[in-house]
Amino acid sequence: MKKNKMIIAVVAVVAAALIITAVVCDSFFSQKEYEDTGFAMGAVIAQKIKAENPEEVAKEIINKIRITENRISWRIEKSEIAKLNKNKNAEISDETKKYLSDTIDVCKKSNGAVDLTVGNLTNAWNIGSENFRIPQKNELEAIIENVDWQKVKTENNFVTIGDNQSIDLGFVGKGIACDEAKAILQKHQAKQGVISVGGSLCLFGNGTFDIGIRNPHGNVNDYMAVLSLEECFVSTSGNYERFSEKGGKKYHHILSTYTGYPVENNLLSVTVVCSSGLLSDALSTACYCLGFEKSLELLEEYNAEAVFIFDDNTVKVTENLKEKIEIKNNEFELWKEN
Amino acid sequence: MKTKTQKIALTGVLAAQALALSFLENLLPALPFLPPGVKLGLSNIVTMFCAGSLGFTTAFCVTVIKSLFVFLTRGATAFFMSLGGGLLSTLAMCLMIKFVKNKSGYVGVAVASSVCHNFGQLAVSIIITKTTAMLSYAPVLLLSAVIMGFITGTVLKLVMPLLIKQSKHFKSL
Amino acid sequence: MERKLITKNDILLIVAIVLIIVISFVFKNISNENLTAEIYFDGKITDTVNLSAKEEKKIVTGENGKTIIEAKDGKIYFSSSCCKDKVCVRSGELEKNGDFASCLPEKVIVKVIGEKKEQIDAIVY
Repeated sequence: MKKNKMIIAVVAVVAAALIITAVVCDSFFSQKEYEDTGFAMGAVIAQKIKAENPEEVAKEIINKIRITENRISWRIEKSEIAKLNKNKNAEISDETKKYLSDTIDVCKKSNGAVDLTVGNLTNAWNIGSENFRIPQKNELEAIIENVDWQKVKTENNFVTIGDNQSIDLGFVGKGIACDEAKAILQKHQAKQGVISVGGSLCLFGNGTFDIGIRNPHGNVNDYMAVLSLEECFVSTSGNYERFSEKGGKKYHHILSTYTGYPVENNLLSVTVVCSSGLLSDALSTACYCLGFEKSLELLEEYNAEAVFIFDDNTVKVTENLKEKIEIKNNEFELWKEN
Repeated sequence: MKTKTQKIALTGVLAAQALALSFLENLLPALPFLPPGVKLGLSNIVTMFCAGSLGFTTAFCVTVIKSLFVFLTRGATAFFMSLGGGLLSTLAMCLMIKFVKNKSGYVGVAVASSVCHNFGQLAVSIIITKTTAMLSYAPVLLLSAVIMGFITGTVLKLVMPLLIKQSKHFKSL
Repeated sequence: MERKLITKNDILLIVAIVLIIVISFVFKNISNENLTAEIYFDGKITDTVNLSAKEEKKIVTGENGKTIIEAKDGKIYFSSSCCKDKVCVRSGELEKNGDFASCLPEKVIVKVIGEKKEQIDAIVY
């Protein structure tokens, strides 16, 4: 009799242990990874999400990005920015106001290396589209005269810009989308998320993420180094992203606010890692325009890190990324101070 | 005294216990790395007891009854999966008991039948889905079969006295 | 049924099975992984192509017209598209798990998927 009780007890314990492990396993695995690919902001939105309801989260993110696109894209006729460009003044939403002020801050701190009033310059070139043309030098000079973020004035939610100005938030749009993705992941208490908005990344959740930096000589799937990063935002600006060719010469899309022509320096790409999507996007463009030396101060100001790839295939990395980068393609070489 | 009625009654009780076990197993969440429909086979405990102590016919009866119940509750696909796994695993344990005899212990019989159970289900799933993609799960299935075989074999050893006592009520032993 | 819980033979059986598992895992990693390509239009899968097949041609109707995607010798690529920028065609051949190419104007994406886990989480570009 005693023996039987023992056996029952053992069986009960085993059963209980099984059920407990099952429940633990269930809660551990119930956050399933979900992958989704969609379109918004003229870019591919690739999402990998671990959450209880990842499909819903992914849908919400893409919807939110589309809503923002309809607010801030100058290409969309009814957007707040398009209205502002047309009337030179407009009443804007709180969100747009926040984006504008954050962007203006980068314009200020980068001494206008990036500028949100480049709309007319972008339009004069139309790089990467079928309407591409090379503007006359005097035309460009006239335009850059009016590229000046200081002429953008905001009073509460009312914004005015200069008469010959137009706003183009192209250099922060994808980063803004990343910020919004993070907010939604946070709201749903997702476990992990890797959101790519046309190559700008939002890394969310615990653990480290291995992020490939695109090989500037290769295609989209080719990476030359891997960064091991924790939760952050990453963005790259490179001369390979969008360009047009004429007369055997390549014109890439990163335009200098000082000359009006595509930035010409020894950089192939700059990748910026920081705690805000908008900043990572804006800073990668700014650093590309400024070049390595002048970028360092700006990066420090925003507590951001960066990877610079030069046209002789050397790679320069800011201090805190030195431990986190691994070059995967031996054509490239990490630059070392002597 | 041993009568046919008593044996049928015992088979019924054992089948019910097998059903209860497979129901319990379904309460456990599906392990994520397993292909859907491939189960761990807790009810093997009962079938193994049948095959070892009551004869192969009883074991097969219990297996088929269990599958029929699955058909009633979960439909045709699940029925074929259950039948495929069940028949193959019962066959395996019968062969083990008949030919390997006492050279193998509870764990050995359980592991062998568990492996066959999973492969039976895998075979059926390949036939149903008409793709061999599931085959890549084979190593995982093997591993889970070893682990589950170990558990079911041990549990069987532990509950053996109880099952024997129960059978004696039906005077079937 | 007088039977031990576990015998030497049982242990042998288990060792044999574990050996098979190990061998099959090793073999699986050596052998060519089974790659498939998924073709998306506007975020939805419209077609899948098994890359182990010899040669295959898919015509996708995108936003403005037809886009032709060809698979050959384990690689898949945009062979032609009605889009204007032809970025998709220039993306070249896709052959690794996780590779992808897109035609933005046509909202067509090709993505290679396989069983092996990708080595990195994402590419920044």
